[in-house]
Amino acid sequence: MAETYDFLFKFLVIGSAGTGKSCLLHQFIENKFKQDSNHTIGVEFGSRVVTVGGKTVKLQIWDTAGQERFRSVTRSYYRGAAGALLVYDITSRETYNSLAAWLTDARTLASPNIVVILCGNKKDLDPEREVTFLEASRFAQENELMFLETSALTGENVEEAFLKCARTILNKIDSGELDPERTGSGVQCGDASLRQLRQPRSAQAVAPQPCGC
Amino acid sequence: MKQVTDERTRMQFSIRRPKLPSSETHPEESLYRRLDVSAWLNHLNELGQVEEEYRLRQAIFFGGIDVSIRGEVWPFLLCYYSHESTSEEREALRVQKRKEYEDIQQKRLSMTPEEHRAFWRTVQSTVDKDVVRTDRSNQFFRGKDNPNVESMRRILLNYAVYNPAIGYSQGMSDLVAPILAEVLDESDTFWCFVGLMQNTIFVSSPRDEDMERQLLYLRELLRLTQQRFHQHLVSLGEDGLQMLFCHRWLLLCFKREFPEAEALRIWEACWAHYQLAALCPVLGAGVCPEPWSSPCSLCLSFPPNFP
Repeated sequence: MAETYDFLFKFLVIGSAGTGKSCLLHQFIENKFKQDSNHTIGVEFGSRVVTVGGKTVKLQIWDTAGQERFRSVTRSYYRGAAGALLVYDITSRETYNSLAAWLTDARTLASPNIVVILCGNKKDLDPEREVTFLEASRFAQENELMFLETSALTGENVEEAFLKCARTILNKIDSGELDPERTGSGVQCGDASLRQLRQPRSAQAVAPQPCGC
Repeated sequence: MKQVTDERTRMQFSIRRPKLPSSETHPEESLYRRLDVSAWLNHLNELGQVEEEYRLRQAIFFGGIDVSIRGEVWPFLLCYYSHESTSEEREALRVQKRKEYEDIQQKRLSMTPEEHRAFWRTVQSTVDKDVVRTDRSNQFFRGKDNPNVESMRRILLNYAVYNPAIGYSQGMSDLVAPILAEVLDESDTFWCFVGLMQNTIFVSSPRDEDMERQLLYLRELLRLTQQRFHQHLVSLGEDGLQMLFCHRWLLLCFKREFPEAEALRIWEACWAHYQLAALCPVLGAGVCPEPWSSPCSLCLSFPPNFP
């Protein structure tokens, strides 16, 4: 079955090992917490079609191991991503300390304009907290990131994180800051939006080109 | 435009044909029974030496090893025991290797605080996170404060001390866990794991070049056997031929793609190093991401024109 959507966004989930990247993805896609989940090896994928600001957007989400070894993987993984969830674990200072390095990777390997939302995951483990909300907010502000604390266990703010990121990308498209037709933008137009874009310009019938995703 | 609000999709790959018609299997496929205790004893002479290594490898390749004697036989396949060794020599080796293992562990435990900080950052922090999420479905590793998980943790930490160039890469816990669950003894498992890391062609290494070579083989196989799919990958541009979707197959030798019993059977056949080319996976047509409702297919089989 061919899906219909206005846009397709390539999303990444990045951050140190054990911060809950795959569990966030699983919660977003399946609406439940993944018990006894394995650590990710290689790359895993998930996708979900959401409606944001009246537009239908397919989020194609790439999830990889926190400890990634292969340069070839890294290149392909980041290439042309429109958005990223940058994840740390609020109960682990170490994972917070490595955020800057992850962010540098995202901005150099994907795009300097990649839309990043910082996620302080494991919000449900508040008694074991090592990173305060305030200092993470400051980090987010200094680096021009959006910020939420999330819980892949309870689902709190998980949906919001993905949708917030998608909404920001859509706003950038609307304002012209992001050109979805440019290669490497991390955005592809679905057939629905292609029709919209093309019809006013010419009366001739343009065969809609689906994204093929 | 069709209404597709909140449609959820999970990419899913599954094995389309778990059983192959006999025309596609190796002609000798059905000639071998699983290697059980009595068959195993028949391979040994009175000193406990393996009489004909080639025959043993052949038997394991085709028939697999009975679960009850895996712990006995795997150390041979993983080059911990040599096939010429006598039972007596193996006992002596185990004692000597246990001492060596203890020395490695001692080295780890006597790091300076500074060395330990570096070790914690590069190795231990990841090992600690991974061992508690490895093979949790296996009774052997289940539960809180399980001593077997602690053994697995020590083996991986000691391995990183023993071979600092490799250290710890994610995926190694997946490789060592099944060995520990069969071999049971911590020191023996460590040395089997050392052999595994050195000798098997499928195993992960932290260097790009090994993975690149594996991918090169796989691409070549696809080009030869599945032209349409190969074309499709080529048409996707630079990233298609990186085949990110199959890196895990190569790194963990299909451990997470098959039920455990079948995965370990594949491992044994690989470790037997008998007609290795035969194990090259041949991918079925139409490996493509599809919605959950229509699982797409990967067929893993022997090449039709088997030598």
